[in-house]
Amino acid sequence: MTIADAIYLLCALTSLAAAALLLRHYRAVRSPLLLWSCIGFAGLAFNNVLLFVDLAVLPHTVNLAVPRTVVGMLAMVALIYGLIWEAGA
Amino acid sequence: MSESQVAFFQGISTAGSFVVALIFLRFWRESHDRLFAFFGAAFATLAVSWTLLGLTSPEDETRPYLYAIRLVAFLLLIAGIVDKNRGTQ
Amino acid sequence: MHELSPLVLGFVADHLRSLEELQLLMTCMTSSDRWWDAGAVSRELGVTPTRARYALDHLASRNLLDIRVTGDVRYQFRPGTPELAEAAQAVASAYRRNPVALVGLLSGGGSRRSIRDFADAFRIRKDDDR
Repeated sequence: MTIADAIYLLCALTSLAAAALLLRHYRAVRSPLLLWSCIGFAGLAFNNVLLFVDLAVLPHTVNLAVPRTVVGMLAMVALIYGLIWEAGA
Repeated sequence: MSESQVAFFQGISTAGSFVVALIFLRFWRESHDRLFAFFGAAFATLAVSWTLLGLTSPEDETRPYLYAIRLVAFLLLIAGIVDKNRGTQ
Repeated sequence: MHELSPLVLGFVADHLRSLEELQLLMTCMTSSDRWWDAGAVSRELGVTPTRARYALDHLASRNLLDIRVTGDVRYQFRPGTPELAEAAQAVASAYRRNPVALVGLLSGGGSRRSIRDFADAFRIRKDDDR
């Protein structure tokens, strides 16, 4: 495992932790902002996992660039939706 | 064909990440909660890393400065969470 | 906002984080012989039971409520010190005289509940009162 791989794994774990904390609190207070943020951070985690898999696991003939970047983009969109539309009150 | 798709999606993610950073910084101004400052800085850093990625080589995430910057972004997230739990009154 | 006495302002700043908690405190004070559980509070105030329990736990941790565990957990208004009792009474009469000022203190605090909820999500141990 190279340093880059380790870093992407750490990023994935951090995002996952954030998503988990947001989900836990969402179940207590039911605030939609938390749900969308959770989805956003989970997507970010998935994006980092795909990065790790792409670089460390899969052979060079397979390229996950398109699914990776789509996932990252959807994660950002979910986060933005939540932070703008659901942060109302 | 897929290279420009990747660049397109990365571009959206990058712009999205800047927007998320701005929203978190605004939350920080509203609530004076330092967590949002950390998160805003984290997403701004993430946006910077994606910008550099997009401007240099959109599909190659193995360059040291790229993953170093991403590491900083996620360390900022961790720092924010740790700071939140240090329990300052 | 300055028709409220320093005693009231201090109490609110130290012990109450939300309008919900103020309403809960007032409810417990007006029926001070009653033991409340999260379900009853949630029906009374119109919030989810989990939110109700969160608020009850907070007030109890501020030494304002007594806790009894007999099957389910119940709470009753019982301030721990005479000073707390006096301050709580001051808040209650301020609430009767001028509810708008008190409500304004707590909801005009400048930070939206959803934002606070987001930040609170990252508190890993929830039993402290910050």
